[in-house]
Amino acid sequence: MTPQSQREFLDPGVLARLSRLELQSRWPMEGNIAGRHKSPHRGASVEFAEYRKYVPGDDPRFLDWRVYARRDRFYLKEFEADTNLRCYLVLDTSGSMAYANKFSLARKLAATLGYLAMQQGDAVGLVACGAGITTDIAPRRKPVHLKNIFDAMAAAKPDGETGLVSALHAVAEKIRRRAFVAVFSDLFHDPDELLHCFRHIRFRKHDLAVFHLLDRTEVDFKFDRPIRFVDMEDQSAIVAEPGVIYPRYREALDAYLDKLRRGCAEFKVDYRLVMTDADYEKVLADFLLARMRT
Amino acid sequence: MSFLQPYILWALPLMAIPIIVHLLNRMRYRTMPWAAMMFLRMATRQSTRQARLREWLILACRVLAVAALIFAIARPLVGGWLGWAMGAAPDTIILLLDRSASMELQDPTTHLSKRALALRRLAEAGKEYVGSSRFVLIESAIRKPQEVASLAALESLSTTAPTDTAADIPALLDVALDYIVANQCGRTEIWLASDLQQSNWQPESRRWEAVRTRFGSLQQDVRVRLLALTEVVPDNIAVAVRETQRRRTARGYELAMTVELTRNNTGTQNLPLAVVHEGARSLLNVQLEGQRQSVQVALDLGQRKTEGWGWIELPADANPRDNTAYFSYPEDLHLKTAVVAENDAARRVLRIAAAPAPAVLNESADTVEPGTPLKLSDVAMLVWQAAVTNVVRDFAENGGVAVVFPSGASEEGKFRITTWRRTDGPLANAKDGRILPLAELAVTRRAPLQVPGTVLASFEDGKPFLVKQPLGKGAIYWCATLPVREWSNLDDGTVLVPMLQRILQEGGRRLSKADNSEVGSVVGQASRLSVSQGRVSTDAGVYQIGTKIVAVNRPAAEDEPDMIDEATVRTVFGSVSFRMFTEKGGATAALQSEIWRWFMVAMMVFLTGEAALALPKRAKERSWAS
Repeated sequence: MTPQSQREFLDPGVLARLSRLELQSRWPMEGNIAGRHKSPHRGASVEFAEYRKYVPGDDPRFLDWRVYARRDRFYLKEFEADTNLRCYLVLDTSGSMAYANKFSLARKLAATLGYLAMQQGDAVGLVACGAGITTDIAPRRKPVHLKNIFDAMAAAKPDGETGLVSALHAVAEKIRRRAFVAVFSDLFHDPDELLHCFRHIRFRKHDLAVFHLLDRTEVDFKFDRPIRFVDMEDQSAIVAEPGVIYPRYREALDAYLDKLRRGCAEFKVDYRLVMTDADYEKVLADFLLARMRT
Repeated sequence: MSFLQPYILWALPLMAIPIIVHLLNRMRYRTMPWAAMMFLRMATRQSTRQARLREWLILACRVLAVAALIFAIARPLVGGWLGWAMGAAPDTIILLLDRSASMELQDPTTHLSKRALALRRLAEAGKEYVGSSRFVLIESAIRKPQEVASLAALESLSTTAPTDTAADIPALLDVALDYIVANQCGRTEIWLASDLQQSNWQPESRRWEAVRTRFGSLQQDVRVRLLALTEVVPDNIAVAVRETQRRRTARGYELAMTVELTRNNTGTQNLPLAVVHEGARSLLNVQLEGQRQSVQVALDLGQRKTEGWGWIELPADANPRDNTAYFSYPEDLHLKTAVVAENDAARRVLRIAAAPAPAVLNESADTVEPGTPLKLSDVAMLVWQAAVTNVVRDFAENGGVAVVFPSGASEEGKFRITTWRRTDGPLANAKDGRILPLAELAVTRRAPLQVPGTVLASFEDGKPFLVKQPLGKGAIYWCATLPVREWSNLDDGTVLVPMLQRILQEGGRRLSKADNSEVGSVVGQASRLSVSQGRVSTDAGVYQIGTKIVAVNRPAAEDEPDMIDEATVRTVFGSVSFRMFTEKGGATAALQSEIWRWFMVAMMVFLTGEAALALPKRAKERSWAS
């Protein structure tokens, strides 16, 4: 980790306050080592899971002798297993993310979340996608691995058309074991296609969190004169009278957001709408606390 | 619509300002990188007709608001007379002024007569054209074109003063057309001011066809503008003396007058009627009921045998010109009739019918054999039943009245009289409304009447029974049958006596020193005997004309309250380029101010509409917190 990129994405004060919170997964994870997250497998934690009939080959150390004394049958006592999680940070680097401070906020959120995950022993990786996947760093547990991630984030520039949907499908296919996937994007894409790839990720049993970044001007659309709007992705332009088209614009935006919200709720995606003028510490604190409560 | 300040209308192109601002605003865009293009594309794609319509409505509201402001500053007058012509000035403007007595009806608030109001409006309208157009005045009393140099002096001209005449609008237009043709005027406008009195316009007259044809045949562009002064004032009463008759009484003589009172309301009203005779004024209270009422007034003349005159006055009301009716009466005149007849029976019947009560009525009838020389200088009526000679014609041309009965070829059959003139003339209804029994006449023999004149009565098959042929100063009445049994039952006297007595009265006027007439029908040198000044051609009064005393009154038709409506006016003008302005007396000032206020109101409405349309729709309440 270079001091430069660290200063750029991380705030020590924020990290100190957020370090008291844990990043918890909402579903059992499959990790390599013991950790803070539930595993779908039985393990050696102190939390009782279930009784199971003894079959030859089972370790006799786990036999429950008291049950044997009462029933004259062999039963094994099983406990929950705790494991670590693999956290994939998916950062949208399409041209639209250059609007206002969306990209900066996305990097801060991703970096802080990655740092917190690393601190609690989880593996963190990064996928940056513009028109296609530009950066793909596999998750590692070593703290020094954060340097690679931050360097990649610092090197990323928002440009070109979005390839988020294909990137998310690729991520869903690539990750073989259950993992935590956090997406940082403005999601300016067809909501049906987006929801389709969210469903794909959830089908692979991954825990998916989506940070939907929008600027206040994109929502309010308050302009007082005709404007030539130039697309930040493909440079096409539209001249429009904001006062005239505002109702239609808001109607389209509201319909889009409603569809996204409903789809995310249906597929149990942790959807967070983040305005660029919001305090990112509060955004992350709310995100982490909500997960701890579930 | 007309404008008091039409030059302000040059500012009308300013209406384009909102459009220009709109276009400039559209061109004055700034470029902005934008991320949420997908919503923008959807919004512009969905910018439907409704949004475009709203935009056009806003623009229209702005344009109309500017237009309303400009029109308001230009002080528009809708339906008014002032400055209505916004086109190029015509070469000639002919002012046609209805100067009839009915135009003297005054507005109760402004006390301005319709004639004075019309003159004011004409002068105000003409101001716009002073220097560019020639003004010619033709008024209804004299109908002589008169060039007007200064419109300001229009009201002070003697030819625009009030009169007691009746107007003849078709004749007035005829004079105007004559003037246009004779002077080869270029583009001409005829400004006609009238109160649309039906008797003046005579919408049924065939002369309108000729007027329309003449308009159509003009090579010039001639337009007619009618200023209709149709204000009705409810409390006006008109008085007229319809008939006077000197009668003998036990004490001497009396003058029996039929006085007609006309008004345009119907309530019961007590009216003091003043009768002025030989400087003495006597009052008579009359109770009015209905719109028209005849009052019999008997004036005691004592032993007076000479002619005389006087007048009847009403209290002052809305029209001062119809409050006085003048009368004159003849001296105690002996009316002589000369009866010349071939048929003995007819001669006897005609003599009796011409003088049924010689002692009472102071009349006599002498019978003369045909061919006998006649002395007709003191004869009031000549009854002739023989081959017509120059004696009859000379008598009529010198002012006498002759009645000619048939003496030649005839046809036999059964003939009934079905139509006759009942309003006036020798066959008119009696004063009490009773009808002469002409329908009961049984005619078995009749002679064909082939003379020019007015048919006063006709048989069932349309052939004439009685024809009046005006000739010189007098007239000849031609009757188709004889008062003898072989011809008809005319000899029973029920029709013959009143007919001959009325004709005798008519013939007696020639010999009388007093007469009653209408304004406009008497011309020549005359000196006024009644108190106020005036001329016999235009003003009512009692005049001395030669040795005769003539009471001249306004025409009876002037008292008729009937007016024609706008549809009738349009019908009579037909295809003539014509425009009508209705002027409610004294309400012009209110009209002027009111109309620009309406434009200001319209401007405010447009601006309010624009503001309401331009307000952005309220967005749905939504929380955007993450």
